[in-house]
Amino acid sequence: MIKIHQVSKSYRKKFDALAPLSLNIEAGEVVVLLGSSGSGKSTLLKLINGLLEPDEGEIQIQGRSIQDYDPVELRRSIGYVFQGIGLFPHLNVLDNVLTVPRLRGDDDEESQQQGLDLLDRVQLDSDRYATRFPDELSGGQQQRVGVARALATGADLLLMDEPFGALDAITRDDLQAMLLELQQEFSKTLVFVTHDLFEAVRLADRIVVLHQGQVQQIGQASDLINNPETSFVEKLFSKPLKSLEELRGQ
Amino acid sequence: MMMDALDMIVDRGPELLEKLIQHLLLTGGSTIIAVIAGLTIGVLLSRRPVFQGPVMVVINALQTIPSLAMLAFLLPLFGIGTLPALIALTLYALLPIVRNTLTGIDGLSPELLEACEALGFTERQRLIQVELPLALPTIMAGIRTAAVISVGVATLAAFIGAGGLGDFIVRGLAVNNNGLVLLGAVPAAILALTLDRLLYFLEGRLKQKRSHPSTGVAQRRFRSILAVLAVGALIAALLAAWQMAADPRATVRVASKNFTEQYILAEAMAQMLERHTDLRVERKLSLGSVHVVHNALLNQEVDVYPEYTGTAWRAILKKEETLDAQTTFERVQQAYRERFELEWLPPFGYENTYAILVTEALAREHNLRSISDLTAISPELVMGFSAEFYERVDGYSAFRERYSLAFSDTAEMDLGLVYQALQEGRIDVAAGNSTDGRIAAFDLVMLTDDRRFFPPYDAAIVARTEIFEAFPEVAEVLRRLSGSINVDAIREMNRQVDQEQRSAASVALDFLRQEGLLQRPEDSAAAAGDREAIDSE
Repeated sequence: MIKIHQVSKSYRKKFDALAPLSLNIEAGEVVVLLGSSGSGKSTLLKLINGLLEPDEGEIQIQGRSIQDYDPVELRRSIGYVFQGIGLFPHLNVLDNVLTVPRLRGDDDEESQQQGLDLLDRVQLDSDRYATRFPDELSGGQQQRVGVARALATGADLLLMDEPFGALDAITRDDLQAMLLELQQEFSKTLVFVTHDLFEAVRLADRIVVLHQGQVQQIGQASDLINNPETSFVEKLFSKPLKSLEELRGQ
Repeated sequence: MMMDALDMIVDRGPELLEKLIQHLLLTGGSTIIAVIAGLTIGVLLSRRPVFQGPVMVVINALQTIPSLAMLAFLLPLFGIGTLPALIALTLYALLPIVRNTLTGIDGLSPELLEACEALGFTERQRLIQVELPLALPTIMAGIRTAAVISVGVATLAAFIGAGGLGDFIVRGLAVNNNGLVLLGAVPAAILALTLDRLLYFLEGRLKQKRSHPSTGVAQRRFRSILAVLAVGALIAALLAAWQMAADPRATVRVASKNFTEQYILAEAMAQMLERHTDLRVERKLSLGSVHVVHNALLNQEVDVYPEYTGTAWRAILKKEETLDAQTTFERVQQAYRERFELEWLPPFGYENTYAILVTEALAREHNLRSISDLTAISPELVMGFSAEFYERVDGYSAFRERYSLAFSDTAEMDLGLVYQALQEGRIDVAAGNSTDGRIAAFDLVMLTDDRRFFPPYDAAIVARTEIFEAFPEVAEVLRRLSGSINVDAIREMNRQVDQEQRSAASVALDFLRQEGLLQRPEDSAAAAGDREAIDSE
């Protein structure tokens, strides 16, 4: 699905936002980019949909370099879920969900119905919520709309930039469960950015651990725990495990 | 008081409506142009931040130019009338719209705009579907400010003959009639408030639409704004076209400067033309100064107006010598014919010169007869005059030099106020107009110009030669006014307007009636005989 080959990026003020990185993502795979702020995880996400251009290396989507895509078309064919406000405050929920189909010019009964169905899919009663405005929804509900909007693109690839980062623990748990359900049903290719270790473990087929622009390790959660390749990865997992052990001991 | 106001409104109802429509056209037209231009400039600036500084400096600077100065700057470029007024109003309306468009768009959260990019909006889609709708409240606030400014500034358009409610204000100020000032000012204030509320209401309607579950709300909302603008522009254009087309007759445009006597003379001329010709008469009264009217004549924007030989001699022809009345008239007539293709008709029959006035008491105390008699006592006196007298080349400083005067102080004030100031003893000497009715009413003494500082100022009609050639009846009809007004008659008419607050139109009408000038020549052999007697003198 996605081939990332020796891609690097640096900003003028910050060197090595992303050191050369290679990664292949299979169709239907859930890859979580895990790291703290400044680790390069959001940079990588933006490189994939062409919001940023790599200094070196190449990214291919379905065998075609993203340089060869029209950037607007490329982005419309990728679902994107944002961290904070990604919803348009002046549009109601349904209009928000249908944003991308309408940008493409699809504005008919069918896409409308599809939008309503998607709202039900993300567990928002379409009868009740379709005509509400974003500021009338809770944070969790807003992010459900965000997910529905990404799905409404009909894209096979979804990019999620810390979508649940600002939510409380219980809501986050609900949304993670919902996402897993949807993933089972639609089996999209998912690139998910988070700084939350537990979220990563729960959602990922594979985890990419990033630290200060350097890839630390790429692998399944069990690999990372059992065979950490760098001290960073070891510490990353050992700390919470230790605290859990201590808690159990008490 | 209430009844007076009511009478006035009823009395001037049709004129009020006409001025109100003119005012609306000026305000609406300029606001619509400014909205289109301002939105465009604002959006372009939001895309090219480098230009924001320089462009905003220019637009801000435009705003700081006083309205009258702006109109004066535009005069040589665009002449008088609606076009320069529209341009001036548009320039003033630009700032709030551009600034608010820019602020509205720049104030949007960068995350939201990045989201647009990530979702695959094109630049245009982002502008129309996200940026403009979200900036709409700020932009509308700017438009409301612009509209209210326009209503205010449009009152000044009267100075350059664009009409509107300002006509009442300018005329009211000129003839010292507060009722007339209010007749212009109050509707203008109401108009400003109404426009503000109307736009606020419109903004609310636009916002309400979003609560309906509908498709493509953002585009539709933006389109509806465009639609409202387009309809507004269309209505304005239709109204203007209707005004033009309503009367297919050829038009003769009568102009005047902005003081009482000019209104009366212009009214007399206009009413004569209405009575005795088939032409449509358009009044372009209260133009700012001799230069404004003169240029309007040269630009063929007006056809005929009353002027004074001395003013033409000094201000237009720039002559410094002082000659006798007959020679001055002949020279002015010849120079105008050759240089400007303008024609002077024989004078009305009186002179309106600068009157150097003192109270009767002062005159008696110091035995004052001529201006020279002031020389010795001037260090104990205060002189008052209008700004115009101070500014003219042949005004205060040349005057003071000629008579070796050294007043202890001077006071600049509205011409309408000098008589009262003199009577009340706040000044000792005043420069007024020799035909003002208040000279007699306040028992003021006019000192003779013994050193012949002032040229003769015979009042007469000036017209474009072309209009006389195209419509010989215009010259024929207006010629009947030559020699028809003596100095007592004009003083009395001025007094009736200034003191009794009658309208210039009705005073002029009474005069024409009394003189039998409204009768057709063939109807009244006696009147015709009288005129021949005058002509042959």
